[in-house]
Amino acid sequence: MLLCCIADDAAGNILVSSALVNCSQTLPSFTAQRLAFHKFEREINENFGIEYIDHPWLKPVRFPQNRATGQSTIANYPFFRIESEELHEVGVGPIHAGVIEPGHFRFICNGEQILHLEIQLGYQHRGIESLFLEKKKLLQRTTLAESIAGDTVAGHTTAFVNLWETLCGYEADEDLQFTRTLALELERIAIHTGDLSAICTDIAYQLGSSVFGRLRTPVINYFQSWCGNRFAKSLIRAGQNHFPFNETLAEQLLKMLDAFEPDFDEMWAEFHTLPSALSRLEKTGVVTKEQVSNIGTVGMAARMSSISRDIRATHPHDLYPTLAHEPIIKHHGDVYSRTHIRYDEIKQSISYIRRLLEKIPPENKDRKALKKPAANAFSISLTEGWRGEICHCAITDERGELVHYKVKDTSFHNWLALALAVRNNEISDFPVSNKSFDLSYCGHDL
Amino acid sequence: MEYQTIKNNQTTPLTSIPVLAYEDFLAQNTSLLADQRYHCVSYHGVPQGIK
Repeated sequence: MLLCCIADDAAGNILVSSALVNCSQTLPSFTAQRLAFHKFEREINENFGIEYIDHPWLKPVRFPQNRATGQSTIANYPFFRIESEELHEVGVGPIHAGVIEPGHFRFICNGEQILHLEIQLGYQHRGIESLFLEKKKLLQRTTLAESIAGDTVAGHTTAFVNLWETLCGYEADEDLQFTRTLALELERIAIHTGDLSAICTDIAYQLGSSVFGRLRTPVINYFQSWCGNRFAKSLIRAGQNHFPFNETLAEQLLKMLDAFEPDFDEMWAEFHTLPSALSRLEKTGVVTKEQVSNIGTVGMAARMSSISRDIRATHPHDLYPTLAHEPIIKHHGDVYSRTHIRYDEIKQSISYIRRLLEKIPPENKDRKALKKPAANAFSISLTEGWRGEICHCAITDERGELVHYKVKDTSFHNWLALALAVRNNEISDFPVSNKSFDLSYCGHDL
Repeated sequence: MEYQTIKNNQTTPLTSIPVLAYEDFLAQNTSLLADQRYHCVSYHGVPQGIK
């Protein structure tokens, strides 16, 4: 069965339809008409062996497991080639300098200029979706959700617990929703600040690299003092709250933000008016509104190019309806836009947190227990992580057991945007373009 | 147009999701994306035996 979920962002609805097909069929592709489906159909081809007559780029998504055929291997990936004595190829990765995750980047260059970039992923595949079915305990599944992408613990865990609660017919108390909303916004501040540091590193701006890097630390340390883990692991649980928020934690958080904000503003004021920095960021790695629209990017990678796509505004969950979120939109689609969005979103997240702290919901000490998941049901959960939209889907059988679990990280949509962004750029600008997207390898590879 | 309309974080019976002929399924979902108010949040295969 093929299952398609289309979000109606104006009405806040999700339109679900399906079709029964035979895996041995060769089908006309959605992609031939709408490029935004290209990755989904590549994955369907890889997992089920369904062939398409007119898919323009039917290449592997992840190699190691969960594929219909064992014929293709990671060593014989069908890279795009251009035969020319004047062009050369540059291969980067899968093992990179530094501590980033594995992925292979194959550039075709004319001198220093990039003509084409092909990104080969899959090295981080762990079989996450299969594990959701194999592991039967809720704690195991929650831990899996926390491990989908280490920088998006709040994002993916919120998607999972919200999905699980709706499957169980459970309405989350306000204190649970408060925890999730606060964690999502703190995670956004922490990762965006770290990304500003990394962008400065990639343009050799040492002061910004050091100061933004230092500023990320108190934010993640706050998670440590709240729940014992700097990445918010163990904080978010379906139908439970092991770390209830209180006035003491609120005072600590306000104190941290009061110290963070002036230093952050001062560093930003230096950074975003520095000609040598701006010359590396402006008009670098441009993705046009038309390209973004065709690719179907989400999160910052949509909002950088005039597309207002943000689950907090269009399909709000937890306490976002009370915040009446207004997405931050930029229009140039370049590294500078992606950098500026981060600054604006950090400021916005701080203002949201200050508003949330004005009314801390009391812990419900008489919480209802979770019931068994509904039988023969389909559920979907969308969250707006710091990187963008996250989607979890689940199907249960007649006993209410999970029989299908599907995860889509933001990066699944957005890797193609990076490949297009660097075309006609100097190859030396690739690192800062890459960092300005900061896409997830493990979130994509699952 | 034939689809089940749900909200974020909603559960629906599997039987409520319409099953279309592939040609209609393709036409419906690709035509929706002609309008920028729509975008695909998930499109995937579900193994045989489920449904």
